[in-house]
Amino acid sequence: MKKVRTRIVSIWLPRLSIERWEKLSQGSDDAPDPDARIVLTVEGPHGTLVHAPNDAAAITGARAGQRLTDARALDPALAAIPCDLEGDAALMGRLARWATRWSPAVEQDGRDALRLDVSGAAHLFGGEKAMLDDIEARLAAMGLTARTAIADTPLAAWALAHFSREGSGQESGRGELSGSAQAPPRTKEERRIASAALARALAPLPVAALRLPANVVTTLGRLGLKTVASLSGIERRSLARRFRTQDNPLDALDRALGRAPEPIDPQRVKLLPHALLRLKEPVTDPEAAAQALDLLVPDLARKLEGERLGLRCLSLTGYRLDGSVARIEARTALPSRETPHLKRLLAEKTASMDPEFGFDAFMLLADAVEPLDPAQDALDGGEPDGVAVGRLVDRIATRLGPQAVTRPRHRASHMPERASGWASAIADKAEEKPAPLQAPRPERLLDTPEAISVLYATPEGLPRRFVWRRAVHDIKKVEGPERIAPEWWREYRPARLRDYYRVEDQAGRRYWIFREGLFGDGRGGDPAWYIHGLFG
Amino acid sequence: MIASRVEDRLSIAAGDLPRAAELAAAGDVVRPHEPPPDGDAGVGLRVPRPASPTLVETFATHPRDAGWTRFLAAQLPRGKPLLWVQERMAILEAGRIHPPGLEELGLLDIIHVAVPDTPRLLWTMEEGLRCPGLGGVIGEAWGEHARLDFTATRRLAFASEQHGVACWLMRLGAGAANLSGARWRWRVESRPSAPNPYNPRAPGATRLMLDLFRARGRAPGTWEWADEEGPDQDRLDLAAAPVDRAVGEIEPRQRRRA
Repeated sequence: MKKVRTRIVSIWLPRLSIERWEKLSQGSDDAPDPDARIVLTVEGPHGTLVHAPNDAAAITGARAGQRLTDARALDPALAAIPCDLEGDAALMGRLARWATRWSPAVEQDGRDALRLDVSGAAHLFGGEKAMLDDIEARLAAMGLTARTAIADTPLAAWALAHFSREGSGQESGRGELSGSAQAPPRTKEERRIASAALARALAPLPVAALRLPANVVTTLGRLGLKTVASLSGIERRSLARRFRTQDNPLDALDRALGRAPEPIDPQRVKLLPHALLRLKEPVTDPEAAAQALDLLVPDLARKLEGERLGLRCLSLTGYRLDGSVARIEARTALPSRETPHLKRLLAEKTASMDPEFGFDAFMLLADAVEPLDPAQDALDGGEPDGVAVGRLVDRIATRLGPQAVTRPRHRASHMPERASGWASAIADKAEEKPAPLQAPRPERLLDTPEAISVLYATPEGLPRRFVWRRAVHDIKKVEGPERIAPEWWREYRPARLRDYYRVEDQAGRRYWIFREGLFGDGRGGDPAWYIHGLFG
Repeated sequence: MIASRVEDRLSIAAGDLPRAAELAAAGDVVRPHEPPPDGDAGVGLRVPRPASPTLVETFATHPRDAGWTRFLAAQLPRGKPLLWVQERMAILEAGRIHPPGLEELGLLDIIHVAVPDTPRLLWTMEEGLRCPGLGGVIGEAWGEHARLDFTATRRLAFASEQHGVACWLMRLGAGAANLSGARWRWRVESRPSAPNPYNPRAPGATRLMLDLFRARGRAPGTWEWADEEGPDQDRLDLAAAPVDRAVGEIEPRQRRRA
């Protein structure tokens, strides 16, 4: 397989906070005067800091990172509004999901930037320049200023997006675009040229573009090393004494130029199997999602078969024109890659995907995969029983919700309602614990014990008669009590013990009732009675 | 489990033994752990059940009478998972099924589905019936929903027969039996339990009044059914005290062999 040249796109949203705030405040009734000088602020360790000034405030001298008092000294009329950093982060999260339309490998890069691995994908969008134009145009349509760059390494892309100057030609603002070569440089000579082109693009940038800590940038400035170009002639040994290993600007330069690997990339996830469908025109047909499934599911199933994987969780994402996404997902009890089954699971939900202004792309993603070797059919040619039951569980869970389909799960506990729990049948089968040896238990249990009024011989006599749901039951036969003490290691202290009785009324119907507490146990007033179950 | 017939709609004469035995044999499957029928008229007749999987509809005469659970458990197949579907109202009114209680009856592998209403109950049951890996489908319907009509039950019956998965439709809180496509229809009511041999005040073995008011291929009838294995399964009966024989006493035959 031909190795594809790594290409990383960095998207920087320099005015994310203020643009989001302006967009939100426009909608409200008290929309601010556009000429008002406003800054968004955050609390720093030494007082309030300016986080983002609006245009009017920027003209009067407010800068991000400045102290609010300093900014007010320049412009006393400055209005300060606390910044909603969590809201910004949520928006970035949404944008990161949305950006999967260009490449599934998207990660958030700091507070206000995204990083996309578009290796071998740019030609799908008409080349690298067209793709960057597309990204900026779509973000601009959302009211967000974006600066994008593409380069061979994440650090170089980040540097070019953040520091290449606006006015100095479109190309430099975009990093070093390679017009022709999607193919990686093969010979040593080609590699050298690719590296040299990147070095030329980075050369005029300030040293801060190498993502160095602030104190390192200051030190370099004092040494007179202000641009990346000035670093190139420096001997490594002469800088080694001044900087810690991880801060060495020459190492950072090596990483930017791709001579050294990026040391850690913790957020990078393994590419999950997916199938992508891009539409030439946005479609508003409500059937579009269902039709897209017909194309995508076989495609995904083929990919899964190639890797001998089966999926446990599947999602279909529709990318709308306005940057929002619609997403449906389905889970399976057993790993599966069978086309009709998967199609059927999602087809039920496609109706909930509202096209609004129209979808222009669909992606089918296997969110969770497990190894699945080709299985043998049963002897009679059908599928094995376990598989059939797993499919049934999937279908019901898709229709009624995963919490509706359950299997019994035992827990080691004395309390009846805790000892017999239910676990979702979709989830992995929990290890079955044997039920502890115990007295007869009812066949049916009320989800919550219901209070009943009981006639009984105080203080601890047998019950004679009870009223449940307005019906009087005369107790003819009774067996008990079975005393169940509260689990003191789990419940708080006033929990009371329970005395369970198995009773039979005049009609022969059998119930499980209990008295909670004893007279004078110091945990509340008189004991209360409850009904908890029905015996067969 | 022993069922004793107390009334027969076809009014078989008490002495008509061959006919009664034939009826008993027709639809009955004898499980290995059951004692063989003693053949006595009226006593020891097994409760009949369909020879092949089909839809069996059972009415509980009182909504909060869970006695039918034991009758149902006696008829359910073992070894394959069961799909047990409960409507929301059935859960609220008569409780959710409780695995420890069912495990005592030998029902271990259960997939439980809680559905909000009768139409979705029917959908879920039908999906289950199409799945050959299931041992049976049990659906608990509450009240008389308009969708629970002849067509719906007939669909269930056909699906059950076509795919060979047995289906039990439990009707809780329903009034009079309406028109139904079920091949077998029972009405079940609890009776005061049998005397408990160890504690006169405690409930004993479950006793049920079973009324088979519609059955395909056999005569309807009424039974009183007692779950003899009931609450005494794990009791240890005391053996008679050992008594020494007289010294030197030898059986005559043994002496001859020696």
